[in-house]
Amino acid sequence: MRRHSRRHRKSSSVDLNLAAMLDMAFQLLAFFILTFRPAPIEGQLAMHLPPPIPVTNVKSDKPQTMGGDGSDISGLEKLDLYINANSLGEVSQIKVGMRPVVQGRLDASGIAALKRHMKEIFEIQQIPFDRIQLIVDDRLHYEELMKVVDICTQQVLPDGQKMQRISFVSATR
Amino acid sequence: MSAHSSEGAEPNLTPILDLVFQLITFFMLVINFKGASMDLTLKLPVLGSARPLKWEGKMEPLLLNINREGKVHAYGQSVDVEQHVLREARLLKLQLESIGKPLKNNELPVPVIIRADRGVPFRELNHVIEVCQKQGYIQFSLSAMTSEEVH
Repeated sequence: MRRHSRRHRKSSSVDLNLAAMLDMAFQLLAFFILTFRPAPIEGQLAMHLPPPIPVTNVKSDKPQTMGGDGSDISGLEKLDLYINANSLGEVSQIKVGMRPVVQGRLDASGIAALKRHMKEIFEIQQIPFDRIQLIVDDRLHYEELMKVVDICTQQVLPDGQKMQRISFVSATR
Repeated sequence: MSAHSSEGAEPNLTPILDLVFQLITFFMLVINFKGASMDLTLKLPVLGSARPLKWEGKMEPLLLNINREGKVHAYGQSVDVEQHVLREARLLKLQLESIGKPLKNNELPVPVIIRADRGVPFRELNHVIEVCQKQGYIQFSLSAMTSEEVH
């Protein structure tokens, strides 16, 4: 544009009024600066959440049939995790099946204990659980829940896939 | 500087115009329209293993923000979650019908992104998930920060 205007000036000495263009450019610039919000560094835990199975039907030590028609996922097992919370919304106890794994707050040692236990189930014993059902206290805060969900989604299934089939059930029902 | 010399002086606006246009180009390229659907006041939990969602489908995921009081926000407005999800699901089904993609087992092939404040009780979160499940959504993405925000 600069080269063009110079050439133009030489031939017919017409001056472009750049002030008006600059005004407009500054207005555009002001708009973009004012509306500029950098995107937060956000991530997601992707999950496949089919509707849960009623807790009253649970027999977690035996193969079950799940889903509407049951044809595609019959004979597979689900693992139940019971998460209790205190009045502050923090974890007070986590049971895997009927076995208490975490007592008290879910701190680093609690997370390590839960990870160890889940690894034992999924990788060492290779029990073919294809789904985890979290039976959660209504008061539990999202932050605490995500810590448990994070551990669940790290579990590797026998086919090499990461666990994504997780369902939530309210413990008060 | 004499009065005579300043009288006929014209500033050369071309370099500043170049600079301003470059700045405009920069801001146009980095503008984030998706940010409008996010409630940036929420304090998300921090999980190092959370990864950005790789969604390459043509339909936009349903994004729901849940604040500490359990109220659901979409596009900066507080919405009734039942009505909002029902409306979005209907629109999606119509879109799918129009492009000739029937639903399998009444399951919607679009994820729901839930951005909940770290202090939201499970009761509220579960309610939103159940409402979505009733309408046929089964893919969910729970949002978290990949690292603690630095202010």
